[in-house]
Amino acid sequence: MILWEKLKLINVVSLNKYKFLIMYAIKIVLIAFFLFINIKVNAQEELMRELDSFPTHKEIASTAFKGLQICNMQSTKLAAKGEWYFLVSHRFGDLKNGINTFFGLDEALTKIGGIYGIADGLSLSASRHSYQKTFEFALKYRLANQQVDGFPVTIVGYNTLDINTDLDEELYPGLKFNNRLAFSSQVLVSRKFSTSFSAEMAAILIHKNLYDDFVDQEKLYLLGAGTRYKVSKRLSVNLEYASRLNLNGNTRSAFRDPMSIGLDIETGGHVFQMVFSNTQPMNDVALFSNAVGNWEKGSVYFGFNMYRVF
Amino acid sequence: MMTKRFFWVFSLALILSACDSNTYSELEPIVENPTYNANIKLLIDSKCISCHNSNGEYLLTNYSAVKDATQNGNLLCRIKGNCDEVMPPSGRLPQSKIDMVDLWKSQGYIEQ
Repeated sequence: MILWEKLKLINVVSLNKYKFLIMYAIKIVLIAFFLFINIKVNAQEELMRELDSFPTHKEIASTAFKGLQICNMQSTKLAAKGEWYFLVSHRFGDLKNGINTFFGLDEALTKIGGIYGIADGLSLSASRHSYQKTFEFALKYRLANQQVDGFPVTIVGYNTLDINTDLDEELYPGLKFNNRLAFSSQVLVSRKFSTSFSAEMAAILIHKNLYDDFVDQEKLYLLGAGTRYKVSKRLSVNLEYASRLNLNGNTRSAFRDPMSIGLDIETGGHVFQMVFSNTQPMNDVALFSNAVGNWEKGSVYFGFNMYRVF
Repeated sequence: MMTKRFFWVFSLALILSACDSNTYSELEPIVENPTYNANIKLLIDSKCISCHNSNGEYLLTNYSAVKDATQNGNLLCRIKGNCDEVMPPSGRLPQSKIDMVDLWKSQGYIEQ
């Protein structure tokens, strides 16, 4: 009897103790349940809607660009849902230096990274650049699709976040983590004019949390353009250029407008892009705002992007 | 799907609006009397020594080597980007650092 009383007491105590946890579990189950119902209803509604709208449904045009990049710039193509991309890019040093550096081989920059398609029209990527030991995270999302005899353009948003891990706290005692960050925000609008010709316009904003006010600036706006012309079944020529719009009069900008020419070569499972550009770094923040090469003087960087899909 | 997209766009806009900027010169006190031991060595060790060591060309491993490169060589010209390609290859040094080396030169290469 006494034992029974004791047991009851323990039960009550433990019940009180775990009341919070039990309530929490119930809540989770309820939320999950409603969520499930919600999804089911949504799916049904969507199915009905699709059936209803079937006669007016417009066919989506095939992608304007074959690669995820035009040369350095992003294209409006996204990784499909569930697709993994592995990418490696190199930009060798200045071609002008000739045989002394074996046309830039000795001063190459490397980018290595991956892209994952979370949903159809939404992908996430992460990469590491040898330039300033930068980690770059990016989000790409499609806002509209070009349709056959319908909506005229594809609109894609692209945002990158850079973390510069090269900054030395000993050299800059006031350094905060925040200073290591830089951002780019881009809206890309493309149109496939024919099976062989596509063009893209881009509105770009670069923001740096740390900059050199002597030669650089905090915010830079650019207007970019890129095209692709298909020469043969497996080969296309790409061209891109971006114009810096708000160059501050009193900053002696040491940089130039980025311009690149590229060649897409399609092989079995991957796209191989050869690139000639006046910008060596490959992270979006630096490639748009810190191009130091000069086409007129032959100061150009050669390199390639290689994508492998899984 | 649409709400999800707006959520992303909105949160990214929030991140963007939440960042405040500094210039390089705001992160360090202005050095009025730079010396090799206290200032120049730190800069050279961090930005140059990985290539300019005993395995490479143009040694910058000690006081006399750095002084010689600044006095007789083209160290200043290279970091300013006035001759040939700018050094270091990872990108031009902030102007405040270049000014510091300039000042060190004009004050007579003080070692400590």
